Amino acid sequence: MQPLSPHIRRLYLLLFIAMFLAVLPIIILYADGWRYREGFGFVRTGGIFVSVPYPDADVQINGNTVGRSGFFDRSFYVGNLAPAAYSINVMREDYLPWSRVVVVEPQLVTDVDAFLFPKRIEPVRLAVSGTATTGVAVISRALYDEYVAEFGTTTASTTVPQDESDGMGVFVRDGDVFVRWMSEDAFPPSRFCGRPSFCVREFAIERGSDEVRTARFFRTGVAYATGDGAVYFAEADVRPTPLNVQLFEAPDADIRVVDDALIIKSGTILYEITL
Amino acid sequence: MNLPEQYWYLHTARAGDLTGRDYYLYRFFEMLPAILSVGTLGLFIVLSFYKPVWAAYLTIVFAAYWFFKTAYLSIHLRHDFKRVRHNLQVNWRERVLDVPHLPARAGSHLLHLVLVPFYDEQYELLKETVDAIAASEWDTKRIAIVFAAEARVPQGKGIGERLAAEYADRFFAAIVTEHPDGLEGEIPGKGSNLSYAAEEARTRILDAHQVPYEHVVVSAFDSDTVVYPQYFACLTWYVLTAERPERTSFQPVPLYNNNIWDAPMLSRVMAYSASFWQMIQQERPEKLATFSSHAVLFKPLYEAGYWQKNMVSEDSRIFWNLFVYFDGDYRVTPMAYPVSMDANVATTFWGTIKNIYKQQRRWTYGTAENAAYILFTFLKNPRIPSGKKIHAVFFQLEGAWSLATHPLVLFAIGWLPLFVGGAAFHTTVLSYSLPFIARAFLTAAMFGLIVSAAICMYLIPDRPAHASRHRSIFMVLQWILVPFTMVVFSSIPGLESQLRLAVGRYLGFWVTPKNRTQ
Repeated sequence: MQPLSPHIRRLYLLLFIAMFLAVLPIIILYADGWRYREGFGFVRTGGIFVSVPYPDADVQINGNTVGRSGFFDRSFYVGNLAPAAYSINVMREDYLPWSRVVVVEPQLVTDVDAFLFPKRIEPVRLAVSGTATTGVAVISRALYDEYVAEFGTTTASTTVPQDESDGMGVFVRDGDVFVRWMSEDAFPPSRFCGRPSFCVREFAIERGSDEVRTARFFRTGVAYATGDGAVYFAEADVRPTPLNVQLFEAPDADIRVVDDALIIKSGTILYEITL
Repeated sequence: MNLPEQYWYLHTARAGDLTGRDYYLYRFFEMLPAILSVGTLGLFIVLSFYKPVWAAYLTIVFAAYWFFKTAYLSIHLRHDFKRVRHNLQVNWRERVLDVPHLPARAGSHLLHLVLVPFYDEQYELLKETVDAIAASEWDTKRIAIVFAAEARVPQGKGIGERLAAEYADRFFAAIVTEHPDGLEGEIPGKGSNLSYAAEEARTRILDAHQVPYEHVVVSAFDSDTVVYPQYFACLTWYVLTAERPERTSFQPVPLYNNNIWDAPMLSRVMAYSASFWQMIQQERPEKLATFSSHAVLFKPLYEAGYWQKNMVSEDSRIFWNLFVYFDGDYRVTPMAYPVSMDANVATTFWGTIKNIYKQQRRWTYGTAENAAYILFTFLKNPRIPSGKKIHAVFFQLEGAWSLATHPLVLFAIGWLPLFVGGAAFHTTVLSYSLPFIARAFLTAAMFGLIVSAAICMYLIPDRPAHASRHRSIFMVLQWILVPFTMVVFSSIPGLESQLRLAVGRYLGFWVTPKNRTQ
C-alpha cells in the first residue's frame, strides 16, 4: 500500500487552504456582527446581554421570551438584533416586574443587570436585649454601637461623594441625588450610557421636590433619605425606566449602609432592611 | 573517519563550537525560535491590552487555522493508519523473496547491524528487546547485535556481556562495547554512545568478517525498542526496493505499547500523541526526519561520521547531518511498520508527570536545536538546492513556533482580550462572538480526537489479565485530556527549550527512566 501521493496531498492542501481563505472573512464579519437580511443585504447588527440575579426569572425582549434563568445560568445574550430600541422585561414570582428600554447599535452590545425587588419589604427593628420576634432582631451591643457610630460621621460635600462604589460616587446637591463616574480615564459602565456609543459621566437619581439629606450605594442602586423622613431605593441607571420605590418612612429617618445591610435610624431606634 | 574539510561544520552542536562571525551567526539562529515564539505571545499580550479587537481577530484566525490544519493532518493520520494496518498483515519475508530486480542486492547479502545503547536499564528490560529480535521472522544469522554500555555505569558492561553470551549463537555476532566516560568533544548521551558502538562494530564485526559497508543496514534502537516479528523483513524490503538506499534513512512508526496498560492516562495520551504525529509525518516524507529508533545503511553513516556526539537530539540530527553531507540528496523512507517502546512510567504519579515533562522538553529542544543547525549549515553548503533549503527551514521554524505558541494561544492567551480588553471592547459584538466562535472551531477540531481514540484502540496490544476492564474505557476517555497536555506538555516545555537555547543554558542529555510493572 502506497503513501498518499504528492498529487493527492497537494489537492488536499489546496482544498483546505481555499476553504480556510473562504471561511475566514465570513467568520470575521460574522464575529463583528455582520448579517445578511433578505431585502437589506448585509447589515450590521448588535446585541443585548441581560444578567438576572436569581433563578426562575423569565426574561423577555419586546414581549418575546428569551429564556428562564437557572441555578447556574443567569445571563442571556441575544445577538443578531437590528439597531433599534428594545424593551426588556424580567419577571419572577414575589418580585416586582422589572423593565428597561435599551438602544441597540451596530456591532455593539448593550448590557443590563436586572434588579429584582421583592414585593414586600419588612424593616426589622434592631435591639440589644429581649427575644427576637417578628419584626425585631436582637444583635450584640458591640454591633449595635457600631451602627450608631456610623451615623455620627458626615464627610460629604458637593465635591466629595457621600459614598463610593465600583468607581462611582453618589453626591447630594441642592437636595437632589446624582451618581457620577469618578474615573477620568476608564470607560463608564453601561448604566451611564443611554446607548452604547453615548455615555454620560453623571446623571440624576432623584431630582424632585423632596430634599434629600443622605444617599448611599445599596445593592446595584442608591438608597436615600429625605428631610421629611422617607427612605427610598432607586436603581442607578440612566436608561428608562429605573426602579424607584419607597422603603420606609419615620420621623427624622436617616440611613447608612453597613456590610451590605441598610440601617435606618429614627430617633434612637435602629432598623435594618435587607434585599 | 575524518570528515572532508569542506564539511568542517557538519558536527556543529552549538555556537560555542565556532568563532568570530560564525559564532554570532549561530548564536542568532539559536535565539530565532524563541524570538518568534516569545514575539508572537508578547504580541498577543500587548494587543490584548491596547488593541483587543486585533487580538480577537488573530485568535479567530488561529482557531480557524487550527481547525483546518487538524482536519488536513487527520487525513494523513487516517491514511497512515490504514497503511500500518495493511503492512502488519503483509508477509514481508515472502515479499522480499519476490523482489524481481536487482539480484546483486538480494536480501541474503544484507547484514542487519542492531545497536542497542543503554545506560542503567535492567537486564530483564534489555532481554525483552533482544528476545524480540531473536524471535524475528528473519534469518537471525544475518543480524549482528551490539550491546552499547556506558562506562559511567559499572554494572552495564556485565549486563551486556551476559546477554551477548546468552545470544551469541543466535546471531551473526553479538558484541559488547563500553563507551568511555569523558571523551573530549562529547556530551554524555545516546549520540556519543551510538557513535562509539558503531565504530567498534565496524572494526570488530564488519572489517573482521569483511562485510562490505554498503551491505550493512544499521538499526539504531533504544534499549526498550521491541521489534514486531517482521520488522527486519519489512526493512529489508524497503532497502531492496529503495531507488537509492544509500541516500535514505528508514523510519518505522514508534508506538509506546510495551507498558501502555500500566501507564497513567497522561502518559498514554502523550505517548500516542507522539506516535500519531510520526504517523502523520510518514505520509509527508519530505517533512519527515528520523526519530527515535531508525535505520540507515552503514556506508553513508560511516561517511558522515556517525551520530553527533556533542548534542542532545542525535536521532533527528543524524538525518540533517546526512542531508547536509550529501548536499540535500538525502531523504527518509517511511516504513509504516511499527516498533514498540516504553511509555513514560515512573514509580509515582508525580514522578511520571516530571518525566513526561522532561522527555517532552528534550524532544522540543531538539526541534529548536535543529532549526539553528539547519539555518547555519544551509548557509555554509551552497550545493544544497535553494528550494530544499527554503522548505526545510520554513518547516523546521514553523514546527518549533507552532508547537510552542499555538496551544497557548488557543487555550489561554487568545482569550486575554476578554479579561483585559477594557470596557470599550466589552461593548462590542466581537467580544461576545470571540468565545463562541473560537470554542466552535476548537470543539470541531476535537472531533479529530474520536479518530485518534479509534486508531489508538486498534494499535494497543490486548488487555493483559492484570489490567481491569474499566481501563479499556479510560483508553477512550483519556483523549479529553488533549487540550491540557498540549499546553502543559507541549507549549510550556517547548517554550522552556527555546528560551534555554536562546540564553545559552543548553540542555544535557536526559535518559528517560524505564520502569515496568513486573
